[in-house]
Amino acid sequence: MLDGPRQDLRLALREIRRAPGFAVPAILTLALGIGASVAVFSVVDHILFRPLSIRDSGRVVTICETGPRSGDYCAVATPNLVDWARSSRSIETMGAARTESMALRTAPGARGVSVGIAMPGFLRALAIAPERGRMLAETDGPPDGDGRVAVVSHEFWSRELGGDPDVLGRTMVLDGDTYRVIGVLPEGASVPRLEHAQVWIPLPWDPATAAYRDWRGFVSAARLAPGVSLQQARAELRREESALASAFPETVGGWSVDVHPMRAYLVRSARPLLLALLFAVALVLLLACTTVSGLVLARAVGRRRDMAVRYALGAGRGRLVSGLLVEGLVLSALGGGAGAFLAMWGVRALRALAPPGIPRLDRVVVDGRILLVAGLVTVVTGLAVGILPALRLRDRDLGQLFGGARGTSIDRKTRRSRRVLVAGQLALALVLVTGSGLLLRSFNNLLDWRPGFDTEHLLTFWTFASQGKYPEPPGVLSLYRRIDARLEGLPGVRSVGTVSAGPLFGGGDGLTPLLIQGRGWTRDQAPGVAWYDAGPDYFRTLGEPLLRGRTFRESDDASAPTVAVINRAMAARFWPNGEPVGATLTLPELDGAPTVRVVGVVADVQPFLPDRAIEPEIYLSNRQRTRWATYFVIRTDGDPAALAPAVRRALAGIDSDLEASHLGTMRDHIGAQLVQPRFEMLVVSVFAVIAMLLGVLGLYGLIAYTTRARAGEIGMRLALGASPRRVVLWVLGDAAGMIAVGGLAGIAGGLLFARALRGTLHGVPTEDPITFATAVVVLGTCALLAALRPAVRAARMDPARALREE
Amino acid sequence: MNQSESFSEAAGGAATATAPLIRMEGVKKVFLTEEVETHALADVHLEIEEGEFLSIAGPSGCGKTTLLSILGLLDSPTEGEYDLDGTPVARLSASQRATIRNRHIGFIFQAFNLIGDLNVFENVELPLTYRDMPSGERKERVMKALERVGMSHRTRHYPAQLSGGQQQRVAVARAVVGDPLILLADEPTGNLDSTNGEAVMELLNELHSDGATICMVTHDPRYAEYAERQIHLFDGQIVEDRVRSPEVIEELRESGYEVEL
Repeated sequence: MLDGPRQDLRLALREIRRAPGFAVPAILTLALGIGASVAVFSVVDHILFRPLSIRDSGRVVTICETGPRSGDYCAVATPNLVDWARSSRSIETMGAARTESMALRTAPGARGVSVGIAMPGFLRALAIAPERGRMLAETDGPPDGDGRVAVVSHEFWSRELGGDPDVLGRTMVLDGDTYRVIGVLPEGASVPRLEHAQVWIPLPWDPATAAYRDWRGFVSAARLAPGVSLQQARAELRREESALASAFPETVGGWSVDVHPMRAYLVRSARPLLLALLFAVALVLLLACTTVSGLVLARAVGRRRDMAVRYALGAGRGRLVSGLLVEGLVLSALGGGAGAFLAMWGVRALRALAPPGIPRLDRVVVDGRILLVAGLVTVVTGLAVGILPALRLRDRDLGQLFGGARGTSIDRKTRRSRRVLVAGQLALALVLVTGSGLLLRSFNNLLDWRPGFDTEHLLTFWTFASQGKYPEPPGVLSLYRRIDARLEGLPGVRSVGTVSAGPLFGGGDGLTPLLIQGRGWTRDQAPGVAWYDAGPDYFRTLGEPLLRGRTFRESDDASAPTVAVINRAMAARFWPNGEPVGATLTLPELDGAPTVRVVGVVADVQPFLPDRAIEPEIYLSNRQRTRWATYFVIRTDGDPAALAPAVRRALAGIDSDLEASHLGTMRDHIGAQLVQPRFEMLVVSVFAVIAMLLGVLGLYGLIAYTTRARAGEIGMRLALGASPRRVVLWVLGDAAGMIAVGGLAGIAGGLLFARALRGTLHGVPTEDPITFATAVVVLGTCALLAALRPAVRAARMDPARALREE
Repeated sequence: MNQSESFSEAAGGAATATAPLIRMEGVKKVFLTEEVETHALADVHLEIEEGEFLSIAGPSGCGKTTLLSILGLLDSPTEGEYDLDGTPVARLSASQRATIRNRHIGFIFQAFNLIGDLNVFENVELPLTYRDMPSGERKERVMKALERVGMSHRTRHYPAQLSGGQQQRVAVARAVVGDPLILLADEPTGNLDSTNGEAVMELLNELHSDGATICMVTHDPRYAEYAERQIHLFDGQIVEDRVRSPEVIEELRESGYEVEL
């Protein structure tokens, strides 16, 4: 009837069934730990560890030109790339692309679509084969007249072209130009770095055009030749870049080139967040294991008599140990099963909550590979849960059966094991609570953003004038003026302004070198400043106070001297004691290297991230430097969101190809910025709450159990005259010892965790004493409160009864 | 109950045909706890012949439990020799001791020590499962043992569903199911009322009549009377060892003498 492992398994199942008070919390705790870790691991695995869904993806790289002001952005100029492609032996194929927003003409009106403008080598390097038709080829561009061709994504084909099986040769109108569809990408095909592009068209100019050698506005994709290492390719391209720098010192001088594996590059920004989550969830799993170990250990003490009977009847230690391990494995298998369901739900929750921009997140699922990992985690967890009670089995305890011993009291070593476990649990909980506290403070800092202007009653959108329809700046300017006038005429609109960079209006279009007349700087010494173009009513509409001079006027047009407005940070940096208004500056790297006269100083816009310094910023008049895209800022009297439909209608009334992209209130835009920090804070806080509950419950369980097991001792103390208060203090002192040890270890762990979170903390130092102190106080108080109940119960014990029972 | 062959294999030695079933020579047991030495047994010499019914008595702390633990191979002596059925067993490994306990020693405890999660059948079956005995043979043996103690009608009951007397009868069945060389009983009536206590003692008496060797610790002189030999422990030493033949006692009583127990 009962045979070895089968017997152990049957008994474990039966004992679990017969002790739901023990089994249910243990299984739920394990389910929580395993489920959370599997969910997070599946996300991390899909994003960080799995190869891209590209043939031979290990050979796919991206190339970056890096220069003094290139910052984090990895881009190349097409003429340089053409030169590298011509001479490179280490790279098989390479190409560059960028996306632009274009207006797709549809029956109800224009709709903005993201269009990838690509050299054919870009998509070839990614080895994407079309589902229908063909991909872009060298012979396709530059387009003229009827020669314009496009490849569309599967999703675009389904949605916009009705999944037409005869789509090849069909035409569509983008920015007023007609394109012929020549191919459809396969379903789910993702183009790294330009995932959002729905339509692909050839570069409308020759990529080797010399004038564009310093226009580093393209992302690249390349495929290494077979057998070539990353280092070899990097070395070769650096040699090429040096040669180009000698040939074109004005545009390539000072620039270097780097090659990154595509997958590593894609996940570089998500990596710290994901690793921090992995670390946090590993702590939760560890905590779940220690909690259940504690439960099993407590139960094993209660079952010591049974163990001793089995031992007396001839069960060797191995047999007893295997029984405990099997019980741990059964518990974890049940927890793992429930955890797998939790993980599936958790993955959906993570996908729903996660900020945009995490690559490949939409493909994360709990699949066979993840379930295999879950199985391994479950087995390891089961062994971890069973091993501690097994280690605590001692011959001496097992021999104590005579004299009517019931074997329910706990010895000092067992107590110490459990104390160490509980202190460890509190430490792990504190690590997560401090992490959560730091993220909470950081999030609060973001919520507290005071940009320097009123964020209420502001509606903004971005629009793009087709270069086909509006080939010259005066036409674009005229369009903007018409939009201004139409929007200002809407009821409830107080004023309308235009600016090139948004939507939070802190930070510009990148840095550009600045020369100040009379300072004698060379171009190499020129500091970088952030630059924008803005319209006359921008500052007034936004509410950015004017500190000196004036802002732009309509009369500051192409026929007038070029003027600039600077922010206070720029005035303070370059004219700490002088007068900036009237100063003459040159921006040598902008088109036409304009020389401008400063006419005013405005207040700073505080950066959204509080730890970012306020950069010097310069505004140029968009009446003098007109670009084809701009943000519109609308100050309203009432609810700005209510105005959105009227804005859309107004735009369509002016030109049906115009689209109000990113139309939203300032609150919406701030909300969008908060998605990622909120996600980080929420996930870590959920883990922290779980951890705190487990830690505090672990302490409660131990104290409650210890006071029960030591009832005789407590009864004796009471009988000898100890006051109930003394007993309470004695029990709380025991808890305080564990809290102190756990607290110290938790602070050390918390500092390490905070370091891992560094990239996601804003305006909070990693060793923030307020957060650490608060976390210690909160956890310590909860833990002491948890210990108070059993302490009071012990103090109210009837000493006579306790002694009798003992 | 002759299992010398398998026993010597388990003990790794050869049994001597003429030796007593149990022979202890100069057995000492010292416990070291936090630098305090406690001498639980001091120079114990004891021989028990096959088929004997022996009772051990003595005040609390005299070493009865320690002696029983060493006899049952749940503990080892600090010094001295212990031969079981002619084979030295004082220095065996834990696994060898486990095998001998399983095959040659039956335990009956004061607190019954049935496993609450196992039913009556499984409790009795437990020692046999550690022998890798085929299931059919186990079943046969278990049913025979339960019939012997009058509990074969309660095989599916759990210990909590039985009275104390019934539990102890099941414990006796578990002790004898493996056909051990010796039964070690630790206050087997200690947790029972007098009716149940008598019944259990009658059961032990029957087993003894069938040839079982029994070594029993008891404080109760009424139950010590069932044993033909009584030893008294004091301060870890045997201070009295009396052999009392039931026939002699009966003869004395019949002659009008008052027999002191």
